[in-house]
Amino acid sequence: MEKATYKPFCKVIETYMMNDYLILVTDKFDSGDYRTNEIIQLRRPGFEPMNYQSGAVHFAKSIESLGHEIEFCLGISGLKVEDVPIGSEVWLSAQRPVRPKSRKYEYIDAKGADQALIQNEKPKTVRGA
Amino acid sequence: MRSELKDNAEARTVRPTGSEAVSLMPSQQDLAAFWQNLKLAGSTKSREQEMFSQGYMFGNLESLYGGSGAGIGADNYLTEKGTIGKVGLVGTSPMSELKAKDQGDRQQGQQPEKGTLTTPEGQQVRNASGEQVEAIKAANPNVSDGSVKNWAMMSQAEKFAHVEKTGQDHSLELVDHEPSGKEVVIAARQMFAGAETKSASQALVQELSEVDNRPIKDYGWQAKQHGQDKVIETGLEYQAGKKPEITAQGLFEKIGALPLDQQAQVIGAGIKAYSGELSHQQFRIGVGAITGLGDGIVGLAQGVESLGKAVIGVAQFSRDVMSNSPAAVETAGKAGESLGKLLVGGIRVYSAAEGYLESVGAATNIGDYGKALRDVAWLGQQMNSRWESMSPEEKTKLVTKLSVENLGGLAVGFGADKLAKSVKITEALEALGAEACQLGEGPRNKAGKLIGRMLDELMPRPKELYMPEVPKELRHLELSRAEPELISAMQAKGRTIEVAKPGSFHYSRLQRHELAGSAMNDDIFLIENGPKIAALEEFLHGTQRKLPTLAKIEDVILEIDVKDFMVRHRKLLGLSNNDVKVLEALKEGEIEKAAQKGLRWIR
Repeated sequence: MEKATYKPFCKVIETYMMNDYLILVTDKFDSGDYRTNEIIQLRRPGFEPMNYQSGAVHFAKSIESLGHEIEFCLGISGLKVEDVPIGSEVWLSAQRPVRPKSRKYEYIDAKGADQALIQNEKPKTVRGA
Repeated sequence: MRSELKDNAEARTVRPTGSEAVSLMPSQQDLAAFWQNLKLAGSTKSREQEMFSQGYMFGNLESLYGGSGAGIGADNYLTEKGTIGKVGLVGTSPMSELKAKDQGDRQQGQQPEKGTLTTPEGQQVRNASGEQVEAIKAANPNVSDGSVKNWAMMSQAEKFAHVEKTGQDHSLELVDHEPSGKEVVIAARQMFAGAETKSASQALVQELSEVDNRPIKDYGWQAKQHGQDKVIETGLEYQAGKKPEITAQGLFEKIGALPLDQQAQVIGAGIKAYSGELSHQQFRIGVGAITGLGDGIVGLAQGVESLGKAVIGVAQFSRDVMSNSPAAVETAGKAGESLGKLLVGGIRVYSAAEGYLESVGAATNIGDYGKALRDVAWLGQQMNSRWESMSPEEKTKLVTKLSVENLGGLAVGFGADKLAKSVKITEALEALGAEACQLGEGPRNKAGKLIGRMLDELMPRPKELYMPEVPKELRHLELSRAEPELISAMQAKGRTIEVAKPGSFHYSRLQRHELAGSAMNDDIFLIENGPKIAALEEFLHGTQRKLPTLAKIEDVILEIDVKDFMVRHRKLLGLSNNDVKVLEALKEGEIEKAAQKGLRWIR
């Protein structure tokens, strides 16, 4: 069986408890490649890497919070604050799931997207087409 | 045109005819006299024969040494010995007549001056070697410096550059004018006085700067007994004639040689000092104590100031970017420069910050410098993330371009080639800085520039440039509140809902980020008296997670989708117009965020 490989994703900059979950505040401002409920690998200094079932914290933004970013947070059950030191790394599986096609969105070049948004161009494809 | 050319060609080929040639040829007596005089002029046989064969002749041999012209020639010719005479095409006057005319100009009966040459000194001069002649020429205070020739060959820009470089903005020139009016410099002499004045002023500036950099010895104070009196001796003293004991680079290297935890302490203290939490004096004393240099040498202050400014430049930029401050645009350049300066000093900024967070900071979570060093570590992580996202081709291209631009000849063989292959760019730059630290000032500065440019390229861009602007008219809208009935209905669906009350940990956390709520699986936190749309959104996120079709979709799409659903089902959910307006604004914000990740929401 091929050994699963992982790639670095983020570092933990803060931790706190939310009910039974240990919330890991990461140094990222968006979820990036992360998929909700993905199994992550936690690399703590001085410990062997361990895999954990994770969940993402979703924030209900207020209109005031729209102008600034909020750190991306992960939740892991069964761990305590003292179990994960600051600076620990979160790694994701190097094998990423195939991006599914959807009628709700499409993959584009980031620069092209910016241009389209700036120019208020509407995409040619319409929903339901 | 053709006929003119022909005429000219004919004119050039005009040669005396046979009869004319005979009449023009000098007699044997004329030639004998001519040869005799020519020898006196130092001429050679071949030269003379050449002249005659071409039909030229000297109009008046006696005028070789400054005599009057005979009216035949056209141009005066200058040689090292002066005007040697006038030459021209052979005219109609036979040479014999010319000779007869010229006889009158010769000074008859004048005896040649022999006295000087007969003396031993005269003979010594006459037999002087080439080296002796050159030595005498060199001793001549009025010798030409060759500036006329050099100056004439210079372009205008080169002249200005030369003047600027040598300070020669004045000179004495002997100028003649050609018939065309063009000015010709015959001789020139540089006015050394002016140049000396300029170089003297530069020396003065250098001297003054050295004075400013002189280290100062602080003697503190001590009591001494003088007879019956006790005298307190104190004061400061310039360490005259000494170079500063601790330069900025020297201090950096000293810190770079320390263990990582001590480096972290210095960096952390620097950030605190320059953000006002620590006095600069305390910082100076702290650095002196950590590095083992002590605080007695006030000269240390200069290095410490430089260190502190460099460190705060990095920390300030990190904070500005994290808080989306517009100032981040301005501080970005300074941060790159500051980091470059620290790294070529051998200080491992990122490793020190990360090491601190992993050890001391992690143990206490509230380490003295935790917050400050977290900013620095965050910056390094952001750059590493950006580096990881680049393809090998992009990395090689960037490194090669910046290496050639900044290192020049040093690009080959220097540690720069390792940069493109590195996994973590911060570690590679630290290694490059440590390598450059061992080199001289020139290569070190070049490496510092390379590191600074690399950091500029990789630093996170201020995010406020991409964030949507919150519509002003929406900021104070009255929104529907999450009523207890709604919360009960959600709980009835198996969700855990906790209302965060003022003073609680979660209330503070949500307030700090201006959030209305958060959800983790089925656990929802809502701020007390929070908006209805926040409660509904968090509830619907839980529903999303239960749908297999949405399991592999990016979070940002889920955020858009839930808001889109709420807008489309506004009546079902009982949302007011204000609620919908806010939802639309939030949705647009998420769509823009998705665009940055290469995802376009299909409307």
